[in-house]
Amino acid sequence: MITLDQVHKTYPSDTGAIAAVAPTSLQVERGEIFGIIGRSGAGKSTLLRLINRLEQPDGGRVYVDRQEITSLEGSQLRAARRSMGMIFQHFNLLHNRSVLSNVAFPLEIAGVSTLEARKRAEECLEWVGLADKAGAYPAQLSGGQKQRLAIARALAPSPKVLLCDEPTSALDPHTADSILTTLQDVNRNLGVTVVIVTHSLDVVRRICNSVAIMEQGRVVEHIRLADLMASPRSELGRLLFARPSAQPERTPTSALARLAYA
Amino acid sequence: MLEGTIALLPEIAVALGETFLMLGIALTAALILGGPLGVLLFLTGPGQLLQRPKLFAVLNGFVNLVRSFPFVILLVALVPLTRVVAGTTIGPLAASVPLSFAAIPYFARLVEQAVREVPSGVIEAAKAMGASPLQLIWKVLVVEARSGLVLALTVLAVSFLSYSAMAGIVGGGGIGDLAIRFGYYRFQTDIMVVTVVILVVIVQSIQALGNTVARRLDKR
Repeated sequence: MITLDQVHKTYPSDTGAIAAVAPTSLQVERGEIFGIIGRSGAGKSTLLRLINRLEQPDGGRVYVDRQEITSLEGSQLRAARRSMGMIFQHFNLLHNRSVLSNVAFPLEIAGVSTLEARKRAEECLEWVGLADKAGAYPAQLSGGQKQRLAIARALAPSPKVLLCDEPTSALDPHTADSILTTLQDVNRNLGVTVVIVTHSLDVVRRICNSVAIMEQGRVVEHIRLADLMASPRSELGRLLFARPSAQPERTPTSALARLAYA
Repeated sequence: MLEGTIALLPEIAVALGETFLMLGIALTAALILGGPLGVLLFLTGPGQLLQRPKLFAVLNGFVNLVRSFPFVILLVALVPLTRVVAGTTIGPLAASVPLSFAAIPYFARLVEQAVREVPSGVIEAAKAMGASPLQLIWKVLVVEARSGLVLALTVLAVSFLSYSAMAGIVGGGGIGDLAIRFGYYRFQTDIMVVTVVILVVIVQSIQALGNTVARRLDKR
């Protein structure tokens, strides 16, 4: 579904160029939930943004559904972006628009008629369980409801791919879990391929089929979770499937570290 | 005090008309030209959507340049331009030319600041949804910054009400000019008090209106 072919990105800095993403090749299969995990600053968010070109790659190619994204310009690129939904850690909702109008927004800018956009927006709100909030404004919603609204907005144009940038990092564990369930529903029931950037092993364990581990701008490991379970010998396998007492992120210090990340 | 004021009532009415004419023209020019200039200033700035360092330097320099002039000096310096644009160099229409000229960059700077308040993540989200630059400006920046933009217009209106008092130098008239001519030069304290009270009431009204509209528009 998504193919990255030697894409890379460097940022200029005072001490010379910093490689945010070293030349990276990856394959995300149709219909899977693909995790990208790593520490803060490992380049995961940049890698995600290279897929819909919110970040301009310095080189390499990106294909989404066999279409080369890296060769598109202007209106073609905008059309391609409409086939990819995106949600964010801090939701990035339009605060001066009602809940319904937020969901209708991507349709509105795509030129869909007001009536049709409204109908589709109502459908999507129903789907994420926010139908009764249609007339409210984002400021009146809880964190979990805001992320549901963001998911509804991302789904409105019926995307093939959903890109998620730390979608649960700003939420409490219980709410985070319900958002992960929703993402799983999006994947299973709507057939949307999901790419999810996270620094939490919980997220990977809970919903991902495949995972890529990033360190200092490089993908150091890329595995299917099913294979991991068969041979849990790698470092990641131990982290993911060890007995609860040995799970490092459940220990108090790691929990603190995770709080610090968020 | 009353008698002097009553005798001057027709003059006060005319002066009020002149003030609102000058203010109306300057604010309209600021909205039409200063607004887009402010948005452009924001968009071409460092790290923004249409980042253009050279264009930004030119626009930014122009805004700073015009804003450095004390208004009285601008009023006189622009006389040749005024003659071309308004066909005359005296009267409220003539005074509207330098007023507009000063109001455009002033409003542009206020708009730039108001638009800067829109979180970059929201702009990024709109880009990810396939918004074109024009859609981004009209449907995201303007809508999300709308209460700040109303407050910017309010500040502009109050400042230029005060600037318009200097229009008397080129025979622009207006309520502030009346205060200077009768109240200050002729030592008619009653006229001074009345005109200043009128100005205070206008300023309070503009600010109250601006605050109310901004609050109603703000859903954050």
